[in-house]
This record gives sequence, C-alpha cells and structure tokens, in this order.
Amino acid sequence: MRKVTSTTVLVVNLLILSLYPLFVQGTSLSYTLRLGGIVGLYVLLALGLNITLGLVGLFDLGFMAFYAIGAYSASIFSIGGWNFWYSTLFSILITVTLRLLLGAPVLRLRGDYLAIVTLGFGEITRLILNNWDSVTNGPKGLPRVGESISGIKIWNFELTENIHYYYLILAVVFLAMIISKRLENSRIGRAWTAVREDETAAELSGIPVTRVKMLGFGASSVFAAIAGSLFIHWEKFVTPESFTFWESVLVVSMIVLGGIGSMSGVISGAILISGIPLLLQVLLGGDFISYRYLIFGITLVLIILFRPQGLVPSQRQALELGEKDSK
Amino acid sequence: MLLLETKSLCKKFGGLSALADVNFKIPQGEIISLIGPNGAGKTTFFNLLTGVTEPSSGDIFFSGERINGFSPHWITARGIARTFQNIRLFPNMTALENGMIGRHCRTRNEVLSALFRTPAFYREESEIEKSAKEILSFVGLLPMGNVLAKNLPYGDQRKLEIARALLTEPRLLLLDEPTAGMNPSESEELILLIEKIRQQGISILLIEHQMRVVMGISDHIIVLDHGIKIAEGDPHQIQTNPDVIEAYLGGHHA
Repeated sequence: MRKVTSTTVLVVNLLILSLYPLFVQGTSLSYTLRLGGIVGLYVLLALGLNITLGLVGLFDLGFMAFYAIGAYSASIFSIGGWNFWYSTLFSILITVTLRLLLGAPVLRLRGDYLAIVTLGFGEITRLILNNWDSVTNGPKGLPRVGESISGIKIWNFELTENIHYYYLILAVVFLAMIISKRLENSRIGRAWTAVREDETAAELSGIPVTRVKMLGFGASSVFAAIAGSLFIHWEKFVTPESFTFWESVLVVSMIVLGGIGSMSGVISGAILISGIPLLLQVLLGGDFISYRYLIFGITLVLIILFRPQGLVPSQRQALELGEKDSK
Repeated sequence: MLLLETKSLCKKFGGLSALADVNFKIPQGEIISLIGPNGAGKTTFFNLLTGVTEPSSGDIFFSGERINGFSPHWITARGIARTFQNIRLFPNMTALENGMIGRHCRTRNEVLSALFRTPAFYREESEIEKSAKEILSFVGLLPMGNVLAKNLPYGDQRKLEIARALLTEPRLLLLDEPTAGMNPSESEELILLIEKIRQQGISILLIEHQMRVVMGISDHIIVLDHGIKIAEGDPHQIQTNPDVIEAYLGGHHA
C-alpha cells in the first residue's frame, strides 16, 4: 500500500517537473528554469553525499572538493577538445581515484578524525585550484581567454538553452534516484547501514568494514563528478569560488534537514535549502540576501530541536514475513 | 576432533597481563563454559578468538588453521561467530535486516549486480531473505521480523543477536553472558535455545555467571582467574575444586 502511494507521488512530481517548462518557457518566469537546473545539481550532490553521510555514516565535510575536482577535470578535458561523454567519463575516473586515495588512509580511523581530514582536504583543494596557475588558471578560472568549453551534444542535438539543461539535469537526477534506491536496497546497501549503526558489530558479523566504506566513499564521488561535469558544460565557466567550505556545509545541511539516509528527505532538503534562497533572492531583489544566512540558521536550529530525525525521516523497508511458515 | 585450540595464549595491556599462557581446547560439538570472577580475562579471550585484538604471544588454531593476526570479518567467514556482553545490534534496522547482515559473508552480490538487478541479484536476495526468516523462526522471532531492533524487548534482542550470529553459518558460536539481565523464565528459554543450537552440530563457547545455567548445560567448564586458567573439568569436578572455590569466595574458605 505504502509502496503504491510513494510511487504515485514520484510520478506526479515527475509529471509536474517535466511539464512545468512548457508553461513558463518564453514568459517572464523562464528564469526559474535556470534555478531549477541549479537546484537539480544540488539534489545530485545531496544524493551523492547521502551515500557516505546518510548510509555509511561517514562525516564528510569536504564533499565540494570532489565536485570541484569533477568540474575542473571535465573543463580541462573539454578545453582539450573532448566531447561531453568522454570528459565526463574521465573526470569520474579522476575524481574516484582521488577520493579513494584520500579514503584509504582515513577510513581506518573513526568518527571525528574523518570530519577533520575531509574538511582539510576541501580547503586544500580550493587552495590548489586557486594557485596552480598553469593548470587551473588560478582565481581567474577556466577557460582562459581564447579557449572554450564545448556544449553538450546528444546525437545531433546541441543543448543550447537553459530549458535543455533543465531537462538533462532532471533526467540525470531521476537516474541518480534509481541508482541510490537500488544501492540502498541491496546486500552492499545493507552492509553500509550496518556499518553506520555499529562498526564493530558489523565487522564481527562478517562485513569487511574498510572495504565497504571505501565502496560507499567512492560511489558518492561519482555523483559529485557527474554534477561537476554537468555544471561546467552548462555554465561553460568555472572558478574556485564555487567550491567554498560553505558549500560543503550547505550540502551536509540539506541531508540533516531532510532526514539522514532518507532519499525523499534528502531531495526535499536540497530543494528547500538551495531553491528557496535562490527564489527569494530574485523575488526580493537582493534585499533578502543579507538575512538569508540568519533565517537559514534559525530554520536549522528549529528543525533540529523539533524534528531531529529530519523532515522526511528514513524508514526501513518492511518485508513479507509469511507467518504461516513460522510454526 | 579438535575445533579450536589455543597454544600458550598471552595478552598484555601495558603492564597488565590480561591473559597468561592459556592453553585451551574445544572439541567439535560440545558446549564449553568459560567462568571466572569479574576481570578474569573472559571477554579478552573472546576478543582474541574473534580477531578484535591480537594476542601478545601464542597462537590460535581453528580446525587446524592459524587464525590469529587476521581481521574479524575473515575469522567470521572461517566459522566463528559471537554475541556481545552489551547487546550490539543494528538498532535502526529491522530484526529481519539484522539477520540478513549475517548472510553477508556467505553471499557475493556487488554494486554492479545491484545496479542492473540481474537475475543472480534477485536469486541471491531471495535466498538471503529466506535463510534469515528460517533462523528468525528458529529462535522464535519471525513475528517480530519487521520491528526495528531497538524496539524489541530485551530478551528478544539477545535472541536476535544469536540469530544474526547463526546466519553466518558458524561452526563455533561464542556467547558472552547470554542470560545477563534475564529473569529465570527467560534464561530457561535461552538454555533450551542453546541446546537446540548444539543439536545442529554447532559447538558453543559460553561466558556465563549464572551457575545454574553453567552447571546445567556445559559438557566441560574452564575457569579463569586473573588471566590464568586455574581449573577445567566437567561440572561436578569444578564444583568440588578447591582452587575454584577459593577464586570465587576468597581464601580461607571453610
């Protein structure tokens, strides 16, 4: 019964989101398509971080570093003349490799150490992007004058308008949801949850904890790399300023606010935290921007106080028990 | 046939000798109890057997194979499973899922088969679910299958821990004070369960403080005191052993 309702909700939401552009395209509201795309990228990032933070329970404060690595490597490949597909594929490879190199030494540690190391890694990444002029062009960002990042071409259709990217990102988010769900409801997903719940008990129940953590750590960075590549192919420009510590905190907040480990919670969190300020900023003509962080902070505190499990808390799947066989 | 053997096993924590020169044998199919006053080194012994800590010196052999120095999950896959003195379930997973975790080391689906939902994926998932249900019904918890572990009554949590351990298909099951905090009728139920497990051909090593339980089900008892094995024998021999009486009641007794 439950399953039917949640599928219905999903289908209705998808229908609304895919029909929406047809109504606003060409009207004064068409800027919301761009906002929708940006929110979509945040949803993608939040779904990725949800694997490490929500399912495996690893406190990762530097997730944006991998978004940055994905975005920058994709830009470099794209400037070098590769198309969207190849540059995305290779940026995924680079991002995952770096992620695992970071994970190998720190995932043996527990809890707080990981938070500190990932926080540090996030800052280091930003500093490197800012200073490694020969590769990243420093604070001026990529591409340099005279270079360019190509757009996305699917078969013979070149994506040029915001509405194209809106649909592409919507499709990728939908795919990411399916992937998240399938990973969560599998042997590996259960092992991730067990590690989150009690690492020692998991290890002693036969789960290779370090390996399973590495899997989760790696999987989440795939989402970040894809989001990064989509971002630069759409924006066609990237600077280190898009990847501050604040952005990492935002993504963590989306997960905490929505409900740790719950996919619909995380998506709602991402939409609320990234979408509402964007929308209000436009509506209030910039005045609101100075109150944005204040309101944001108060909301977080209120939610933690009154709904510590998040807006849409995660729920375990109930299985058919077949009571008749029990006797 | 010997299932488990330790050879002059020692464990030191700094200057403290938690276990000294312990030689220990578990034959196949027996229930062995490990008793001793608090701080005697019983749980340390469990931790050494399951790979949680490494021995300072000495060796552990499990069906002829040296297992010290390997990681706990490897040892679990070899066939040693355990429960904990303070219950350690996965509190926010259902009872059934807790059991399914036990199947991890006996199954092999990886990320790709989960993503593409291959026929092998479904086959293995239903196999995992089926065996988890079987064992849950074996310990009498099937009706509680969809209840979160943290919401189960205390006695059921103990049983669920045993079920999870059984699902790893152990040949040796280590139970760390399984009746701690239970009332007499709950302990009685648990004793029956332990007997039932032994009938499946699984050897059991038990840490236990309730002498009624120990004397009732043990084939063999080993007594530790201050990290040293001070006695072993059948329940009757242990009850009359002067060293054991001294360790429990202090010197100059009667």
